[in-house]
Order: sequence, then C-alpha cells, then structure tokens
Amino acid sequence: MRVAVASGKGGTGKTTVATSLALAWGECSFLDCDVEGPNAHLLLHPEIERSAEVTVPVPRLREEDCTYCGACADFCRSHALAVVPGKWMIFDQLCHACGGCTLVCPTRAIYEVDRRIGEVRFGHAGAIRFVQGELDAGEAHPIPVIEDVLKQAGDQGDVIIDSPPGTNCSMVEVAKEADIVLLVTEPTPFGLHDLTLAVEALKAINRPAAILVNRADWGAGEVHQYAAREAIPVVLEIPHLLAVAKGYARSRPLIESAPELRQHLLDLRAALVRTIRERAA
Amino acid sequence: MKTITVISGKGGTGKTTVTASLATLAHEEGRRIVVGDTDVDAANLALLFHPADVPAVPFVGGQLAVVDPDACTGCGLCVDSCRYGALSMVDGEIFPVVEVDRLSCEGCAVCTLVCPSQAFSMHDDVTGDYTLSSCEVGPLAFARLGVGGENSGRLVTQVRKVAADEARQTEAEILLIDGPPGTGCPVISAVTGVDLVLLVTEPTPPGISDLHRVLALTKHFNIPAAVVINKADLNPDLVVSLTVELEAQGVEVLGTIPYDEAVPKAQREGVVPIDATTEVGKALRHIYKRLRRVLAENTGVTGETIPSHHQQEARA
Repeated sequence: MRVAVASGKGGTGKTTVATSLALAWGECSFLDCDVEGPNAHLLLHPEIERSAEVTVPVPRLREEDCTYCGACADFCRSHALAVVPGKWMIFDQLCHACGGCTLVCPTRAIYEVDRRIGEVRFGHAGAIRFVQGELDAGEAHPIPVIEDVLKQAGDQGDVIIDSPPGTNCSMVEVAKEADIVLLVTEPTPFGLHDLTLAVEALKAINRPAAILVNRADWGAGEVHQYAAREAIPVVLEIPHLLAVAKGYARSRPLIESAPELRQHLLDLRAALVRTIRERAA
Repeated sequence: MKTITVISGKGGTGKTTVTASLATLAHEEGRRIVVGDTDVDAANLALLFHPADVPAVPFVGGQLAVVDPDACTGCGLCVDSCRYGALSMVDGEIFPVVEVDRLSCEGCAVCTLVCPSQAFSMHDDVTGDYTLSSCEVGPLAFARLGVGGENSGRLVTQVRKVAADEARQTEAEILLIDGPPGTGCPVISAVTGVDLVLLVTEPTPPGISDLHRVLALTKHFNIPAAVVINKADLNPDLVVSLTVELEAQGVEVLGTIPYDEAVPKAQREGVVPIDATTEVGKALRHIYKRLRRVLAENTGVTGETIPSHHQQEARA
C-alpha cells in the first residue's frame, strides 16, 4: 500500500505523523517528496548510503549552425530563449525542458545537455528504506526531483510518502501515485480551510482520502462535520501534547515522545486498507 | 514605499500570524499599508481580515493543449514527444485517439509541432483567480490557485503587481506580502526585488533546516533578510545557538516570540494576538519597532541583478 501523508496547511504535523507511521510499521519504504523542505531525516535519523543527481535537459547552441532566425524563441512558451542577430541566449531557470526548441530549429543547431537541479539520497533507518529528494537553492521547478523520488516506490510492501504541502502541482503529482492520501489537519480556521482545498484537489484526481486530526483537543467538531459531509473517514485523533512539541524541537519522533500512540498508528494501517477497499467497492 | 515579504520555508511556524499582526500594528500606528497574500495554494489572511466581498478576477496562467478527436488519427507521435506525460491513447469510436491530461499539460505546444494532422490547438488556461479588496487595515490582495494549478509563480507575480499598483495609488508606506512555503517557483516570485525578506522560524531542527534553505535563496538573489524566532521556549538552547549563528552571518534577529497556547486560540477566535498586556503581544510590538528601524536604515538599494524567474516573462 502506498500512503501519501499530506496537508493543505503547513505545520499541521504531516512529517511528524509520516515518520512515526514508518517507525511503528517497521519494515517499509519512506519517500520524502517534500523536496523544497525535506525534514523527515531529522526525525528518522537514517544512514545515507548514496546519492544521485537530478538533472533536466536544457538547450545549448552549436553557433556555427545557427542562422539566428529566432524560431526557437518564438516557439518557447516559457520565454526562456532570446535571439537577436548574432546572439542566442538561454535562461536556464525559466526553461521547462519541453524540448520544443530542438524540434523547431530549421538547422538543427540546438542540442540538449543535462543541468543539475537537485539530488536524491538513499539510505536506511533500521528496517525502513529511506529515500529523500532535495531541490537545490534558487531552483524553481521541483517536479523532476519529485518524479525521481517517486520512481523509487517499488511494487512491494508499504510505502509512506511525505508529500509537499499545499494543493498545487507538486502535491497532486505525489497524490496521483498514492493508493490513499492521509490528510493531516488541525482544528483551526486555517487548518480547516486548507483541508477543504486539499480534499477538492483529491476529488479532482479521484484519489481516496482519510483524515487525521492533530491537536484534536482544540475542538475537532467542525472537522468531523466536514468529514461526514464529504464521506471521508477520520481515522485518528491526536491531542496537542507539549511533550511532543518539545520532543520535535529535539529531533525526537512522535512515537518516542508519546509511546501510547504506537498501537493507534499500527491500527491506522487496517483503517487505511479498509478505506481503500470501501472506495473501490 | 518599502516592500516586505514574510516567508518561512517550513509551514506552521506562524508566518501568517506574524504578517497579520505586523499589518495590524502598522495600521494602529496610522501607517498607510497594503497587504498581499501570495500563499496562493492556501491563502489564509482573508480568514483573519474578513475583506469586503468583491468579485474575483479569473487568471489565465498559461495555455493548455486541446485535441480535436475528429482530426486525430491515433498515430501516437505526440504521446512520445510529450515530456510531461500529459498525453495518452484512449479508445475512440473507430480507432484509438489521444487524450490530454489537463493537470499534467504544461502548455509547451510541442504536440502542435509533431502532430502530422494538426489535431492540436492551444487555448488559454484559467489556473486560478485573484481579488483586490479592502479590510480594516487597508487594501488586501489575494488569490486562489485552481486544483493542481501550474505556474503558481505567475499568479504570485500577479498578486504582487495588483498590490503594488494599489500601494502606489494610495501612496502607502508599506507593502506587506505573505509568502508561500517552500523555496521553489512561487517563493522566488514572492521575494524577487523586495526591500526586505522577513523569515519566521521556530527552534526545531526542521524549522532551522528550512530557514537555512530560504536564507540560501535570499543570498542567491541578493535580497536583505531578517529573522523572527517564534515559539522560542520550545527549545531555548537552539534559540541561543541559532541567534549566534545568524549574527555571525550578518543576519539580524528582530526578536523572539514565546510559545503560547494563546496564539492558536486567537486564531480560532479570528483575532491577531497583539494585546499589549500579553507576552506574545509585547514580543510582536517589539518586533514591529525593530522592523520599522531596519526599514528606515534600509536605503532601498536591492540587489536585483539576476534575470530572475518570471521577471523575464513579464518583460517578454
């Protein structure tokens, strides 16, 4: 089973929950797809064994073949190319790597080279197979890094995916690959508002969802009402525990700060499997 | 006018609460201020500021490929050429035809190049909407990105443009921008060319890890930055070591805010926690004063030297 742990709003406890799920389940794969702020390693403490660069193709010019006709710049929807007589310029940061310029060039003067935009790291934390992606500073487009991490999901066993926050293309990219998305929310106006956005996104791509309410003692009534209206199960409530917040500030996973939650996290697996099955039926 | 963008890298550090509090304090002091919410994925300032109901403006964020099933011969050349995996073959009436996945299509138009039967055309894609309204503290611009929206950076740029135009027209002294989480395209769009980036962090290893990532970003684009440490008593030792480290790098820490359940409580009640009799309120007032001083010292010279993301597009 592939579980993506996501949240519309940041800071609701997505990584906290995802890492302790992995620790409770033991043998599984953990993919950190929050490539603009990968933090799961700070709670799982994996040993990193190797890494691989993430690259995207970017166009380069064989000057001797270029007639400076400007067809490439006219075609480029990302405005990553500028051509004036005698000068051809590429703005790598703007390039979306579609390859159109190489196709449209009448003299085949454009070729592509690989440009680094990030890194994928591989390791283990006990029985947990750990994969993490990180987008380099100043890079704009996280999707290729996320794709490279997702390729490591494999077909066997349980896979827990720490998803990027929000509801944009990055989150959708991850959710599309998951059997179920566990939405971690908190009962605040921001939390509930952003939960509704995430649920709408999952409806649009037809992915099953389950809700985990963190800091539930702040008053989870509205979340329950909303979940009931949307027919999404609330699979677990976790109270706000100062010991957990303070533990997190010292790189201690949830399950260590609040060992009484271990059984609940183990039971969560069956609840997720049931939700997937009910949705499929 | 000074433009400040508040970001945090990590979510949940209190970025929006700090933004709303600073905006309210500036208003209280009689400063003319315009606020822009560029967290277009999850715009929350409107939940606190209850802006007047005005219609949203649809935003065309790019283009989308549309296939004419009658013209498609099902040859599949486009499927192999699309680098985003947006095209696939599905059963048609007689033979298979191509289908476009709206969420994957980036509007690059390569399919229009390779299709031998001109079955593709490019159409404007409404990726979200934006609103310029007003609230108690002043004009408020915000936006909503549609599901799985591409090019959220362009929508961020649009919110900044609308807010900046309004700030010029109203002769505002401060343009305060609530930024998105992360470090990618929308964040770069939210910070390029501003006078100051205010980084809200928390003394947790993930909070600090993400702070370093956004600091690397502000250095990369040569934008002045200052830091606020929220939830300070979660780990006082980390607050000390972080402050020393930041000051060694020449990054000013404007202040710390204690960890207090009154903050989420205020959010649940829809108010900003600036009550001067509370520790959190005192801390926020202190930070606001320091911010005013930093802005007064800031001569407005920003290091906009790199042809940054989307600026190029705006020019084109």
